[in-house]
Parts: sequence; structure tokens; C-alpha cells
Amino acid sequence: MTLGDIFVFAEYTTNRWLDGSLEAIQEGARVARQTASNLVVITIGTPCADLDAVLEKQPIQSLISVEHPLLTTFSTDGYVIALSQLIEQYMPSLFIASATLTSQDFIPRLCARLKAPLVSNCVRISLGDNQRGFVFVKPTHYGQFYTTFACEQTPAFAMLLPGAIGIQPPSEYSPIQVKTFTPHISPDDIRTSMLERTKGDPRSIDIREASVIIGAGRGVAESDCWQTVESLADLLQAPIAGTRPLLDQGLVRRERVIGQTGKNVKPDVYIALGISGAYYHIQGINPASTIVAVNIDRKAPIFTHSKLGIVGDLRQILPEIIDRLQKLKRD
Amino acid sequence: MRNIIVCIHQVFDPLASLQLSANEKAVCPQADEEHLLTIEPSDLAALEIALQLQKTHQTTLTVICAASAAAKDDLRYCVARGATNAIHLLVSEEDRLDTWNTSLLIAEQLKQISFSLILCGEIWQDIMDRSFGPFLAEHLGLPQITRAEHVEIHNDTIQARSVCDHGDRELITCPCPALITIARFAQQPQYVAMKKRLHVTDASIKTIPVDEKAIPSALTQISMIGYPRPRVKYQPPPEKNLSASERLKSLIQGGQTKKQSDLTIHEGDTAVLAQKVIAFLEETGIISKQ
Repeated sequence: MTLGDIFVFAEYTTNRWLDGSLEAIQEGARVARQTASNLVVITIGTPCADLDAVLEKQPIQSLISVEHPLLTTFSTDGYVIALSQLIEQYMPSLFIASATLTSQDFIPRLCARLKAPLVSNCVRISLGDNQRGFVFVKPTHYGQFYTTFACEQTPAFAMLLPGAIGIQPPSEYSPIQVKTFTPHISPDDIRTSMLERTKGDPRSIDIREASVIIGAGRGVAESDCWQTVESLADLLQAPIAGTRPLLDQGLVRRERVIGQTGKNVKPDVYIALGISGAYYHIQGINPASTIVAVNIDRKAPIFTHSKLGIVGDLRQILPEIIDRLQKLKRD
Repeated sequence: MRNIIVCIHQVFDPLASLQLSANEKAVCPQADEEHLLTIEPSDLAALEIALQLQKTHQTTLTVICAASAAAKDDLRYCVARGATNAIHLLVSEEDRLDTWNTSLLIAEQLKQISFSLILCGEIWQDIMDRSFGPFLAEHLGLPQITRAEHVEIHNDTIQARSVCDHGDRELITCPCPALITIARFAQQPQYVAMKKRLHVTDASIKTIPVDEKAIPSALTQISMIGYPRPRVKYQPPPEKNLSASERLKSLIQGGQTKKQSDLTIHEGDTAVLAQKVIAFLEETGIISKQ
């Protein structure tokens, strides 16, 4: 049985597609194969040229770029109006998105406008019994149980729990047909406006949200350069996290520990200072993160995971880096 | 400034021991379990923010909840904490509502009330669902701001500081009336003295029984609840350039490690090393981002 197209809403940051969106594309491709439907990726705004190369490796049939001058910055009203017009025109059978902060803001409202069923934070989507509708599985009751939801109404909406599926290497490629959709939005439709955006205070933000993290290990404690690390963190506006030994020494708080006994983080860049790279710690760092390691031991395992490895004494290298950063800032 | 509305919802207590019902379509407390439901923590944060606004603007504060009779104690807490009154849309024990039909029921009730602002928690934690606030805003045709941690009202406009990705914050403004969902950690709920709780009279809680037929039908049906994880997360196989021990470690970690094939290790003069780091930070855009 052929259902309507499968739509996947994909989001990207300035330099890469969100992992959750790539997971959503792959889940959409799996469902599209089951239902013999087309997979269509939806983006809002104009993607950068170098980002398209990533999508070309995914099993996508077509991409619809929703473009309008009022959609350059996010607004719930703007996104809901644009996507409701798109969905009413194309009538897909399923709309999948990753459960990011942005999609959790506007997709429920979009569903309410279209009176369409929504299952958020699901971990599996499959075709319903007798090939009618879809079945969604999601963790409920604080993850103690998994609940299966069935809905026959289409279009159905699903938001995937980020990280629950994992990114697989794509197995098939096909040329992408790119279309542009221009919705009708007037400035009066958008009732909220953003006055300012401020960067999170690195000393207080949740390290899981940070794009740059400075990780301090036993080497920092032993070389007695904690204050220098703090100065570097202030200059880079990055939070300091640490390994378990630093928690035991009282240098970092429990919520700032990365690894098996701490948090899993996914920064763009992770600066590992005096960290040997035991896998209990590495386990907490997203493989997609770029690691810069500074360690006195050339054989430290952290170097095998790093993009840039510096062998040297933190007591000499850190003040030199800070001097240069301060000079750059003055200039 | 007119009335402020706070929507509260009962969630399963995270500490409650739960088990599957016989038909595997519901969850029930274990035999020795007494305390099953509690107010959603982000709703309590919304109540605290509403109380601060109530003090500043000398307005009334109404708490509304669509739940079974067990919610009365929670509404009593809200009134004891400082809410002017409470509305209890009473549904039977069996009719456990989802976000869709709860939002419709509450929207119908709120259409009969005058208000400037609706606050509610950002999430129903037990089912990991952030849909209630946006659903309600759409039913009532209100502008919405989600995940706010601070709210101010200036004449007929609302300003809210909202939590964004990477710990950033956005200051967003919209006209009144509006709906704002509050981030879970925005405020800590305060304790209420038992004396205050005892002084809450039933007159301050308006109970409206909801007929079973008046409950809107859910758009999704629960077909099964189960224990096991329904799918195994994909783990990338260990890379070929890893040694045997590293492959083993990679498998133990769930494929988390990734050996960098383009790794460059530098050692030698400190000034040169520092320059390498600076150049790398510039290349990745970290320094230019400041």
C-alpha cells in the first residue's frame, strides 16, 4: 500500500546539521521503504552550500526549502503558518522531526492547528496493523515503561528522541530534487519578537548545552594551575568540566563531571587539559566533538581521539595561550 | 492587569513503585504504594512566578486543573501558597487524560474567564511531553513563549527571558493576553505551613464535574505498555585502524570512541605550541565567535 510522502523537518546550526535531524532522516527513510513512499526533507531558511554535501549522502528523494524574509529568525507563529500551508498543499502521511527545543516549541502548535495526532520523544515508528496509519513507541513513566501509540489519522506527527536511534552510515544514495516553497505570511501574523539574545553564563550553564567545554583532568590538579584554567575559560567564555578525580578533590562540582559517573556532553570543541583519556571519561564525549588535548605524556590515550594533540607542560603552555588570547582580544 | 491563570497537572511521582495493569494498557501502583500522583515540578515553578507577578501587579491568580478527585489536595496547596481561587475540572478516575484532551477541556473553561496571562509548566515529565502549553495556546489563539525562566509585565506587553540551545537566553516580547510555559528549574517551590493548608476552605476551590461524554476523544490510542526497550540503538562497528584492545574498548563503550586518522601531535617550543592551539581555535571559529 502506498501512503503519502514522509516529511522530515531537518535543522542545522551554523556549521553542521543536527545529529537529531540526521537520525530523523534515517528513520524517515526506513519508514518510507516500508510504505513505498517518498522521503522529503523540509528545511526553513537557506542551507549553506557546504552543508548540502552531508544531505547528498542521505537516502532523500527531494528537499523542500521553505523560504520567506520573515522566516530568517525563528518565531512560533511564522513557522506554524509556513508549515501548515506546506502540509495542506502536499498532505504527507507522516511528519517527523527531532525533538529539539525549536521543534518542541512549534510542532505541537502546528498539530493543534491541523488537528493532527502527535507523539513526542518517540524511539520507533512503524506502519500500523493492516497497513493503516502508524504505530509509535516512546518511553513513559520516567523511562520505566515503553508505551505504544497507534493512530490511523494522517498526517501524523512524530518527534524523535535525540540520540535514541544513532546515526547509521547511509546505504543508498539518490539524486535530490530541490524545490522552494514560499508561504504567505504577513508581519502582523507574527506576534512575538525577540529583543535580544544573550550568551549563557559559562560558569552556570548546563555543560550539556555548551558548544565549547574546557575539560580539566588530574594533570591540572597535580600541576596546580586551576586558576590559569579558569582564566582561559573566562577568555573563551567556556564552562569548565572535569574528570572524576577532580570531583574527589573538590575542584569541580558533581554536575560538571563528564564520563561514566557524570554527564554525556556534545560540544563542538572539547579542550582536554591534563586528561589522560581513560574510556570512562571519553564515553561521556560525543564522537562528533572535536577534541584538542594538552598532556605531558605523549602516550596518553586522549591523543588517539584528538584532532590536535599538544605534548607539553600545562604550567608553561597555558600562560602562553592566555597571553596570546589577551593580545588578540586587545587588537 | 487582569487575572493570571496557572494550569497545573498531576504526574506520576518519580519515586512511586509502578506496575503494569492486567491488560497492559495502563500503569497502576504496586500493592503497598500509597502516594502515586504529585504536581508536575515545572507547574510549581510556573505557580511561583505567577505569585511574584500577583504581588507586583496586585492582581488575582486562578489555578486550574483537569484531573480526578485526587487533585483536590494539590489545588488546596496552591490556594494555601497564595492563589486567589482554584478551578477543578473533575474527571473520573478511569479517564486519565492526555495532553490533547486536557488542553481542549481547559481551553473550553478558560474561554469563559477573563485573563491577561496563562502560565504552565514546560513539560509533563512522566510522559516526556512538552505539547500541553502550545496546544492550549493554539486552542485559545494566544501568542506563546516557551521555556521562560523570568517573566515581566509592562502595561499590555509581556517580556519573558527564555532558555535556548547552548545555554543562551532570549528576551522575547508579545502582547497580552499570552501563554507562557515555564522552565522546570526557573523557580524552587516554597513550603506551605500546615496551618495555612488547614485554613483553605472548600469555597475557594470551584469543582466542575466533567461528563464522560464531554471529554474530547484522543487523537492517539495506547495499544500497549511494556518494559523492554523496543529497539537496540545502532552502534558503529570499531574502526579498522584500531588495535585489538582499542576495538574491545570501543565495543564496551557502545562505539563511543573514534580514532582520529588526521591527528597531529605537536611538541617542542612552548610559543610554537601555543600558536598551534590559537590557530586551531581560529580555524574552528571559537575565537571569532567571541
